[in-house]
Amino acid sequence: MIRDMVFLKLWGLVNERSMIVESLHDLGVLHLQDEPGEALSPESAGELKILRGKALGLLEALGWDEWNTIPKKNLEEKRAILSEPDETIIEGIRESLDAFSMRLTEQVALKSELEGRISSVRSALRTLYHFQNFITENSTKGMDVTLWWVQRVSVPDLVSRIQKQISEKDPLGGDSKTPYHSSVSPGGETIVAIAAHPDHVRIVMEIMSASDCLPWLLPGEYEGVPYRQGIPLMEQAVGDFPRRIGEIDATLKRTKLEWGPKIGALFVLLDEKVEEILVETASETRGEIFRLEGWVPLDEKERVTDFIKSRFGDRVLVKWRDPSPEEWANVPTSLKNPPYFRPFELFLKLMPVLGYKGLDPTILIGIFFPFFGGCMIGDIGYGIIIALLGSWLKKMKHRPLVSDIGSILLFVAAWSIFWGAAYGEVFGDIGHRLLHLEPLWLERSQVVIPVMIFTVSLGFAHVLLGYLMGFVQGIRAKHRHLWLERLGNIFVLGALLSAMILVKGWLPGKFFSIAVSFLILGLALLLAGGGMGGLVEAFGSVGNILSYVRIAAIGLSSAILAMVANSFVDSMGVTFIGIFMALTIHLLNFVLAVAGSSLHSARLQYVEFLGKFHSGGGTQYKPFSRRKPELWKKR
Amino acid sequence: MFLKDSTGFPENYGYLNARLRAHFSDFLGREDYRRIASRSLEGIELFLLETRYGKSFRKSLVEQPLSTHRRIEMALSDTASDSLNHARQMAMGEPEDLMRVLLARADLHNGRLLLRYFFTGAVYEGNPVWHGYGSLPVPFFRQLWKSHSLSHAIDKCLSSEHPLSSALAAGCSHLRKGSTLPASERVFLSEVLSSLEEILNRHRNKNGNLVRELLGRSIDIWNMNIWSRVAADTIDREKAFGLFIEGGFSLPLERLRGSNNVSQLLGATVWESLIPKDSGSPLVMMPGKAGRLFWLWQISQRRKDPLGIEVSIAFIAHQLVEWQNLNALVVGVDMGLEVGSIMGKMVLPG
Amino acid sequence: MEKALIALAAALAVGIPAIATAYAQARIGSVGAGTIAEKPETGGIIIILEAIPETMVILGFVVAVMLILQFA
Repeated sequence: MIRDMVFLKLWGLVNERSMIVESLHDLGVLHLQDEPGEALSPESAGELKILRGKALGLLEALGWDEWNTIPKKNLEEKRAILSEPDETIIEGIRESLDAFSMRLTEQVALKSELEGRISSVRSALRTLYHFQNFITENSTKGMDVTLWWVQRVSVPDLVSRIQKQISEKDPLGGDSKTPYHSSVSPGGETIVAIAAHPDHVRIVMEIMSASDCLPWLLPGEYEGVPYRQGIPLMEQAVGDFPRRIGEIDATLKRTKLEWGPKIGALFVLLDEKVEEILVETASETRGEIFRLEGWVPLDEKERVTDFIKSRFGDRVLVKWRDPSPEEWANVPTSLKNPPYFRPFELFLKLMPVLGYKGLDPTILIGIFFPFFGGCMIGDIGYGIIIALLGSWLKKMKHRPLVSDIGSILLFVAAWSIFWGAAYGEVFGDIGHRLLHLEPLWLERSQVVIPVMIFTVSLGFAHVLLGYLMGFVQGIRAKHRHLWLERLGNIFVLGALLSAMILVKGWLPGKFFSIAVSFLILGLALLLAGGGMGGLVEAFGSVGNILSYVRIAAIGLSSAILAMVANSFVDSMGVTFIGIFMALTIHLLNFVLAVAGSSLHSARLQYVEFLGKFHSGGGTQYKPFSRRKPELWKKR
Repeated sequence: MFLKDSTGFPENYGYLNARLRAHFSDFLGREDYRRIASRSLEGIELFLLETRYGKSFRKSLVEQPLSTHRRIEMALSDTASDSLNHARQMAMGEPEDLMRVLLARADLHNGRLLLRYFFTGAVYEGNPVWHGYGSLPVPFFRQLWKSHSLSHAIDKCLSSEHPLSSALAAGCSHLRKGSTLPASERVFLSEVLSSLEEILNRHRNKNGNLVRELLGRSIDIWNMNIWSRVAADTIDREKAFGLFIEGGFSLPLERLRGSNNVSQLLGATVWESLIPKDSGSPLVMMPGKAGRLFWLWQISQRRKDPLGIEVSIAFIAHQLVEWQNLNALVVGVDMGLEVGSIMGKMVLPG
Repeated sequence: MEKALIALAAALAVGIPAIATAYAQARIGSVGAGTIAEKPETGGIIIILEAIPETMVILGFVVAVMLILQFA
């Protein structure tokens, strides 16, 4: 049901404004008429907003997200301190946050630098390992080795030019060939190592530089270190860096555990304060008096009045009034359904918000969704397992969504057991084989047509109910086209029903004129309400009704698959493989049954039922309240 | 299409475009810009803190003590890069390849920044604002920026396995051999383009052709830039002809070499609207105007095909234009310019 | 032989719409998944859009059952 709302106007003294706003924040029921825009906030809140941003930025940098671990007592104590934040408090907070962020940034920067260095050192080592034998061999002969970036095709030419120059300079010792060794780098470039006598290294460098070849360099601080000495130094670094990174990680983890909840609490309080300042500035002020306006659920009216009276006595004036029809479009929508049906409000969260004067279908979904789902599953054994699963999920109160799904599953389980008894199924035909269970209605795997007729009739009733609700919705919202079209559809469906009864011969032929008049009236209303589109909608409604055959189709496949599972024990005997195969197929069938029935039943609600009357356009009721810590996760 | 879907050519234009289209409403509009332009720098900071720039802004609040201007600059850059990287991560198969080509403009920007840095030989202690949505990672450019010399930078480029780093190495090598900056940039651009062409050759269809057209239009702008310098006599004619890049979309090399005035060059091409009504319009303004026209063309692709690469092209352009606009806005506010004057410097679609 | 043809007709009555539905749902599904990822509140509408092509296969099923019951 949609809660009735009343409009609250509150006048108070400007010097008590922050106290009054804080009290309303505690009360947490007022939906403000004009939501204060954060982006257009006054500059006065700027300082606190920057601090709030800094606190959240630190939490994000720490990777902290354990909002549930903030001690509530701690939060209350600090809330009192921050109630009236002055310059000194704000300055103190800023200084400590800055000091903390400085330390954190240093650690993170050091870690990222080490990670960068480790990758370049590893890459250099890979190249050096390739040349290690060449370097060692030639160094022991007293030669100097240099490494160069060159184009592969020019390697032989360069080496012969070096050889020629050395021979010219030193005709006696220059007979021996200039040793070189090349390798292709991961990027596809060629690196060549050239060994030369220390006296001839200059020649190598001159020729290579003149040919625009670049020396291959060791990374960072190792540049200039001889290659042979560089290898052990870099190997040591490769071993040492991960240890240092590990130490930084451990420090960051400790910091996160120690400081996360503290900064988290600070953030929550700063956010609350910013919100209060925004509400204060959004209030209209005239002289010494300010005014706040908003919507409150009617069932909370008395509590709000008592609360304000007890805290501020006659210093605050409160006036209430009901919303006028012109305001309906702006009144926030809040749902309140009986506890058993509340979990089904979940279905409406996936739809645009209901208008204030819309029809809340939660209870009807609560009746039809599990009914259709249970009809598809239709097995006592599966029903019991779903019930167990549902009660386990329902216990997870700290995760409301999961708990709601658990409750919905319990409803589905009850109907599955009911329909299981009707079809005489316990894990397929096991009930019949072992317990001689007979169906109370019929065996759906054998008799298909009656189940199909039943499901289509069910569809007829469900779609008709949807049109009836659409008709009521049209009248309530004074939407002429809507109610005319829905009424037209009701008549067309009535004509269809009458025609089928006549064909069956359950009514005398003279009633034929009634069916025809229903049809003519229906078509006229459809044309008046929706024009040609309305006529197309009438055809669509027939498709909608036929769509309920899926209940029979999915149920049939589920029943047959369960029997197939059991037949493994027949063909393989009571052996390990036979039982294993049977259980596996049952598991598959169970998953398909639960997932398929939920999806298809949901589809029938969304497409065939809600589509006939649900229209959004509402505003979600968002009271000005303190958020529970776990909800901060959604930021 | 059905066979293609079921034979192992994954492409997710439907999914990707649905996600990207959902973000178009997040981009700032003309009125938003006008409202922000009337604020102080601190006011802009508070505004950004509450928008999708908030997360990056919080990061820059924490990282180091920066000036308000620099903090905003970093937050804008981070958000734009995150948003574009996120878009690329969502793409699969063909759109992923094409996104890689479209986002290579970050590597081009960063590479040209480095070439200019090494060309001027200036010593700049801080880091520039890198475009962090390309194929080469930002730490790689940071490392190059810290290099002691061009040789060190080339060594680092050659050590990397990425083809675009080899392209940068080629550009740097030319600079090292004494080439001019435009000539080195040309080498770098040509190498990058040929590497991108390899990717595009795998997608010879409507989407691949559109991306090819986009690259062609970028080449047109480069060539127009060179041509306008020749026409303004700020560069030697013969040398300039060597700087043109082949493969433009609507300005072939013969036309560039043979045109003596703007009408001759741009008449009956996609750039025709750039022909000035009066002869007094300075030629140096032409590439800037062409750039603006190019952005608007990219953004206009948004509704052309909901299941094609057009949505990605428009998304990337919109994101980059917003970044550019906000930067212009921050600089304008910092300099105390009038709202109208700041708005005149922006690219405003629609 | 006649029975085999009836069985084939029934299989085609379900099979062809099933392939068509699968193709349509795959296309709508990928777009829908993208939309829901960004705007979860559109979930209900996406389910509706995703469900529309299903009618084909349901009608195919009805035709198949009719074929078998009438002729087999």
